[in-house]
Amino acid sequence: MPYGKFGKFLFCIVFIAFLILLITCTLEEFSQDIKNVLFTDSSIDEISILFIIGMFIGSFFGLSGIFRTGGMMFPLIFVGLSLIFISLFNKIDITNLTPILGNGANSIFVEGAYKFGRYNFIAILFLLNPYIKNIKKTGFLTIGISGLMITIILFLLFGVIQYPTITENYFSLFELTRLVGFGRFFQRFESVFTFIWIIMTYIYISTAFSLIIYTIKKVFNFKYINRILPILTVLILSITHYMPSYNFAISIMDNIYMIIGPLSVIILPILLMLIARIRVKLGGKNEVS
Amino acid sequence: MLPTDLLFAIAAAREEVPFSIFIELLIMEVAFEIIREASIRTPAPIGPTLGIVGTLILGQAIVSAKVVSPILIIIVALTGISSFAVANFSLNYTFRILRFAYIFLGAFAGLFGISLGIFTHLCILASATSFGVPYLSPYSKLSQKTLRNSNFPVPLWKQEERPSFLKPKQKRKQPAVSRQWLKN
Repeated sequence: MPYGKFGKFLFCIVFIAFLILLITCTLEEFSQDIKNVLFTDSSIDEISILFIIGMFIGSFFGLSGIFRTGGMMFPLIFVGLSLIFISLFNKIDITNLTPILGNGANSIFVEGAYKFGRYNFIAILFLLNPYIKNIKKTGFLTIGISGLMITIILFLLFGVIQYPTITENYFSLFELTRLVGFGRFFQRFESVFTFIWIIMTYIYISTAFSLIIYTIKKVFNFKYINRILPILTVLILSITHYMPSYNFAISIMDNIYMIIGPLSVIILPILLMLIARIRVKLGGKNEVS
Repeated sequence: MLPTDLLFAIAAAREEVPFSIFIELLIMEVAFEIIREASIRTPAPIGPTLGIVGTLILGQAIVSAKVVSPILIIIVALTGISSFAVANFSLNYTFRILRFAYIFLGAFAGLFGISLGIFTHLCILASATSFGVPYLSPYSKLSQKTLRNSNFPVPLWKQEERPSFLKPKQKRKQPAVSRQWLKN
């Protein structure tokens, strides 16, 4: 097998495993959170089935459909989040942000370094390359908007709620929305947030699932991909239901996803691309691509 | 998001109604559709009378009989009137059917079900194309240029470029200064 083909195969298999792990953990985590918010009497399996249905439908209509849906939802999401941000500004207590470095620089930059894995999803920019015209511009724009949103959310979170009470990944923003109030009428924006949250999750897992499908198509040279959609959906549903608990999903996220993730989906592709570049510069065939 | 007083008023109005909101909604929607269909098929002079009898008298009687709550009448009436505000009349038929789908989704999974419906609906519409042009153009690809020609149109003399979603061969519609000084 030529080196290029082997590299492509290895890269694709690693990515498929990463995306399956990402979807299953996200499904388990979101289903638990949705259960706490909307369906306190339902089981997590039932909720995850609804997510899986959305994921299947999104993937069935393809990446372009999901991207355009995301594009249309963006203004709505932007307005919703802006409303939440604006209404919470008067509740910020600056003293909550002090001491600025919390438990010290060591605990943030050294002990917290492994949390870099939270940003693993950036790696899908490698896979989106064929579908986007100007990947460089889109990549920087995506990272810039995400960074801005994370900064604003964290600023609000730490400003409004005291740090020790924040324990959840997604739930804290939901708690923030409950504090929103414009006079007596507009109070508790959690329904707006829940709607945004669910739609974003659908877009997120549908994109990841579609990329699994396209990667499989690419690596195994399949002509038709819609036929493997139900099989993969059932596989992901089975893996999600196999997870015994919410804590198990969190531990997987912390131990495997956070540590092995960046090595496999960010550093490995960069290494492969570096090797490919060196080979091209040395005048060899452009096999590793 | 509802103020507590309004929430109590709604709960109090529903206190004596024996059915669930889902059944109430179905009763009202089916009644509304029957009135609408009947008014189409009746001769023109009787049509308005039927509408008045159907909506006012039946609505009043159904609330007095405590079959449905008054708040639901308001919601169904508002939805029905809003459906006539759709500019494309053929699209109105689609909305009439989809309304039932959303009622079932809402009854099945609440806000989660409605979100699933909206996501599915958007995915179907967004993936549809007509002669290679996305069905939801220009809204599916937001940019400053597309917004300038759709939601916030600039004056005609300033619309210099053709819409990019049509992928035209000649991108410019008119030069930067379209109306030159007249030369005698």
